[in-house]
Amino acid sequence: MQQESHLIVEHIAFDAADAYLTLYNIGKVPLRVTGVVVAEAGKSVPTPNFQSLASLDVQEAQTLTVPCTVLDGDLIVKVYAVAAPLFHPEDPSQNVHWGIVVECRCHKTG
Amino acid sequence: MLGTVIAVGILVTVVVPLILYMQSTAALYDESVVKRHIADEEKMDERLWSDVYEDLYHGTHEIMLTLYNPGELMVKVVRVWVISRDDPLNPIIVEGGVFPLSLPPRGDQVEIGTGVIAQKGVWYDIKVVSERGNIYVPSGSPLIGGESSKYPHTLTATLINMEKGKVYQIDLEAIGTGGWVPVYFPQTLIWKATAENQFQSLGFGVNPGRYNVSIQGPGWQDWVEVRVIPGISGDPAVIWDCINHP
Repeated sequence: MQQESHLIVEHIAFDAADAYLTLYNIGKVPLRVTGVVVAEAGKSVPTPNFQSLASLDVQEAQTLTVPCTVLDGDLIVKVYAVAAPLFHPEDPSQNVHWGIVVECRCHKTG
Repeated sequence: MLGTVIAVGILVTVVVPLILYMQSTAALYDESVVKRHIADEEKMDERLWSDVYEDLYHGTHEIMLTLYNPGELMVKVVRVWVISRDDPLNPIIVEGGVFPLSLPPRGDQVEIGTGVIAQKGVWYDIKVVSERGNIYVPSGSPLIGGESSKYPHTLTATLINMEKGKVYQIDLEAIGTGGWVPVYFPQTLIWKATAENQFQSLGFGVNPGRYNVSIQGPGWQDWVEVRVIPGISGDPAVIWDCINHP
């Protein structure tokens, strides 16, 4: 299922406090988004608290709101997702290693 | 003898099925890996040429797109983003209606209206998203509302060997635009040669479509049809030799 999981960050927008990420599931299986991290580029990227943030059916796009306190500069966005059948609601971090991580860079202007 | 029979029995009932099971599991894994490789390669091989413009000709000011698939794979456009720089947190996502829109390889160019009306002086970023997850930025993006001089292509008509003091008139007329809306046509440019054997290039900003370019020189005239196809014709040019004219 990991091979059939595929996700892109289609769009990112920011306001003063939040980042708005539009995620698009281009894979072959429904996905659960378990973590999103927005951090300054060049610094260590923290590990998210894995939880169910969104369910994405195949070919579905959805916009998530994520706190972003960085005011401006280059940012790293990391999205963790796992195939929905592998997602464990009691322990969302359980099958993270069978999931995918999508990373992209962007620039926020303050 | 009995030991051999038991050993063969274990081999047949346990080891052989286990090997077969492991082989089929490996085959399933290989198959999924190959499918993923194919999906990744198709995503890389996908091509889409797109132009964006504002419909000034009909005065609707709608943001229009033309799409053309020059590649080998079918392209399915799932949605279009129109992001106003005045309000970037509320982008307009155009989907439903004609979307998802399938574009066959080297098929006809397709013109679609986004339904978004451009506001004068506002900058718009436009992007087109395909089913495979590619994101295309059309030529002409960012589009500035009401900016009539922003055309995706330039059609250049060049006159060489003009006669001093003679007047040359070039007319540009849009014909059979295939759905494209040309802007401010017909257009006419008049040039009076100020020197012998003068050379002059005259440029027209154009949208994709078919155009009739005609010239009237002193005592002669000629015309040629020009096709402007996104990604194929680039910026087309017409050249007339005014001495050896037809």
